[in-house]
Amino acid sequence: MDTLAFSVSDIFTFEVFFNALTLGALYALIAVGYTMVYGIIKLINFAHGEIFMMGTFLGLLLMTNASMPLALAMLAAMAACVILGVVIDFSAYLPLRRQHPLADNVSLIGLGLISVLTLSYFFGVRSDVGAGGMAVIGILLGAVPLAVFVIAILGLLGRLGRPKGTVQSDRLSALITAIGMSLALQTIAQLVFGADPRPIPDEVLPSFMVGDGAKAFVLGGTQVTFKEIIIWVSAVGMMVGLEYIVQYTRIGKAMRACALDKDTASLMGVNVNYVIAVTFMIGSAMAAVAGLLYAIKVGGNVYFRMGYYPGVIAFAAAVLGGIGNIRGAMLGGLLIGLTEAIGVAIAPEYKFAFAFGLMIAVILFRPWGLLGKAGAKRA
Amino acid sequence: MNSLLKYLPLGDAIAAKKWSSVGLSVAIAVFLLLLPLVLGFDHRFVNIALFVAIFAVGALGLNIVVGSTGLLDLGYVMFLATGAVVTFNMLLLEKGELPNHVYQRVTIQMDGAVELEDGTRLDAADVVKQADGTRKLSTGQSIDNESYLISASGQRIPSKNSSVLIASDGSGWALPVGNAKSINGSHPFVFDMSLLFIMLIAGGLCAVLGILRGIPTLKLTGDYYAIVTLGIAEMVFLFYFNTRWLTGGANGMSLDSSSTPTLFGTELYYDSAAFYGLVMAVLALTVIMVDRLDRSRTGRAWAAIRLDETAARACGIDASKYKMIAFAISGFLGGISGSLYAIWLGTVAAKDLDVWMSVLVLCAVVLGGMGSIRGVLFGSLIFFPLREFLREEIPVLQVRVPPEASNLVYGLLLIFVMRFRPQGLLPRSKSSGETMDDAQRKAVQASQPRLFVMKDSREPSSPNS
Repeated sequence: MDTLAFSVSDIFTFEVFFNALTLGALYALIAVGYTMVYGIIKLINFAHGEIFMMGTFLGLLLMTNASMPLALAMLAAMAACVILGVVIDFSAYLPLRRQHPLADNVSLIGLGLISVLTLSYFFGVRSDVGAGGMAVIGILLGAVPLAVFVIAILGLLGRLGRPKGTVQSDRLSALITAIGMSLALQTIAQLVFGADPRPIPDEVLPSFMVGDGAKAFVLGGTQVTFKEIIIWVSAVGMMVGLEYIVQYTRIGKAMRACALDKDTASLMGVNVNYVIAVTFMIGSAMAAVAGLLYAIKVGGNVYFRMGYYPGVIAFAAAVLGGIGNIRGAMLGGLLIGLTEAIGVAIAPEYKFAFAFGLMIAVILFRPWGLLGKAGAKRA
Repeated sequence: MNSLLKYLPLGDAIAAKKWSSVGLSVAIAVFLLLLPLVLGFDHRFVNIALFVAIFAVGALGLNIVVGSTGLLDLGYVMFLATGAVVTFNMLLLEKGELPNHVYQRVTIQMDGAVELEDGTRLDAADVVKQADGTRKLSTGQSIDNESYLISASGQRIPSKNSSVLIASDGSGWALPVGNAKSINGSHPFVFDMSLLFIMLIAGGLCAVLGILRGIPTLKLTGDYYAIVTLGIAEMVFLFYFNTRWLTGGANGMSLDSSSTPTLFGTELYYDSAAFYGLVMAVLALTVIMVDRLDRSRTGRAWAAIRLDETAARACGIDASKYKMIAFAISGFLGGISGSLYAIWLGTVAAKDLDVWMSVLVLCAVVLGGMGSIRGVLFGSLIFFPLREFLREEIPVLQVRVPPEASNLVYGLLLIFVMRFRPQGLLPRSKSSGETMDDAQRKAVQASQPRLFVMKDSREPSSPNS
């Protein structure tokens, strides 16, 4: 039991505080993607953690192999993840919603893309061969025309094999699809990028983030580095931007309308599937940013399963704040970050258990979350 | 005659004169019996059949919760892991050995002496360094001829006439001064246990775990049930992963020749006839049990809960009780499956028993058809050998699929099955506990007059039209 021996003073330190802020900012960025999607289509998008992972990989490859600066790589990763998010929605989830007559055909682009990505492995197009990161982007782009051919064939097959009507509970089908998508994306990353964890080398980071110059200030004996400040600043910036989009733009209004009542919004002329696609885009872009920042913070370990734990814990954050509630996700992220930071101070090997425990407690005792409305039917 | 028949396996099918299904079942049973007799018990296919049968038991257990009561359990692996860990610990206890925690870390001193964790110091003169870099006590100090050398990675190597010490790189573990024999005499838990008894304890513990897990999750449905079971399984996983004395931690634990499980005095190996018989008997019993359960009052209650829990409660069904029964039986079967899996594999490592293992079992259930027993069996039959057969070279293309690609196949399988055949390959028939299948129920619901009917043009219209 000596692992659990700790004193209260171990918990209330500046180190724990700054760690909590950093983790919380990252979890909040991921949690927003979960909560927005759940708010509208009531789906735990398990693949969100994998978008986070893919964004990290692309950003890392662009920095190391194409020697892009961090900011540019981050933008490119965001762009790629925006595409990936929409592809996932169109390929896996849209057909289950079955509202769009073209859904089946459009969606197969995504599955075609996945097939081609997998095939690329067998032809030896691995990211660390040749032009590296650019090759990955090339595959992504080149796959689209190829996928169109696949669509025609698969589309026909789909028409033949589709069951009449919906058979299983739709929510369960969607959840299982999301798990399948998560597993598939993980494996694609493993095949394309290899199974070994990759560090982010210091050379590719901006000079103010590495070495002795990285320390911004010291407070209470704890050094705060520019890496952490960058994480806080970008998280706050993204959150403010998101808040602006959701509250003050047309599409934001449409998103809020869809979250309230999808069917009525559709009657009012809102293109629900378009809104959902935009939701996936925004969530994915934020996950990409979070991914790169996360990798920079923990100093690397970019590998194909890196998205799982942050993903599930960010979902816990979304539940904690009140799922469907964007501000709730931000608050939940910070609280989960604090929980994990305290967990690290008490028993590092069980740090995730603290976050899971908090999530379970919230689901059991306050399923509508901290900022959600009581009585609203969830799950 | 008919009233007696229904208590027999296949009795219903015989009574209903469904000879094709009777024939199929008998054919499968005969095939499973003949397979090892023709190929030999150490044949690769027999090994795969064992793997499939063991996981089919687990899949049938998962199916009770996922298919029969309609709750998505993402943490089923905790039962498999618990079954495996309990079995291994009891097998080690049975032989008078305590699990890994009795081994002490050893440090080699500069002067060649050896110091144990508890402070015991052995002079250099007592220690003989061997050619392979390991060290043992010089003969005079040898304690017992049934102790072990333990490699630096924690693996135990039985070594006659040498004892206790370890360490090729200066670190390792050693038995404390009390050795295996002396523990045997004094340890309160040591008694001879048949494997059946161990399996029952493992299964029973998992049933209790299932009930304990059911207490907080009783009111949850849908996504929240899924995510809470996932969270609990993750916590159990972290516990097993970090508890070295119980599970061997990251290295895991393995059985050696002295702790081979026995069944009525026969030693069981993964390729022995007795083990094959045991696994197949367990599978047969499981199939009979879940089939009878599904067609019993309990099974009908599960179906009612799945279709509409509120309505089921309104009809006087004690939903909490029947859900608890489902959790307990599901956990029990998971424990049995994990127990057999551990013996089959001969090693248990917590790191392999993570949540993705749950997804693996879920894949088989979903593929075959949630809620359908023959579907789950069929799903297990084509799903679990997949990884084995994916290792083979594809004949025409002359390429070999990398082993990790099988996960991609699993993921896409889940997506495609949900997309094109969400009811699974062999869906449940509507006679299993309900009067309508889900499609019919949806159709009837759609035909009810409502204020606004948002109807997809491709939804089926009412059955009357």
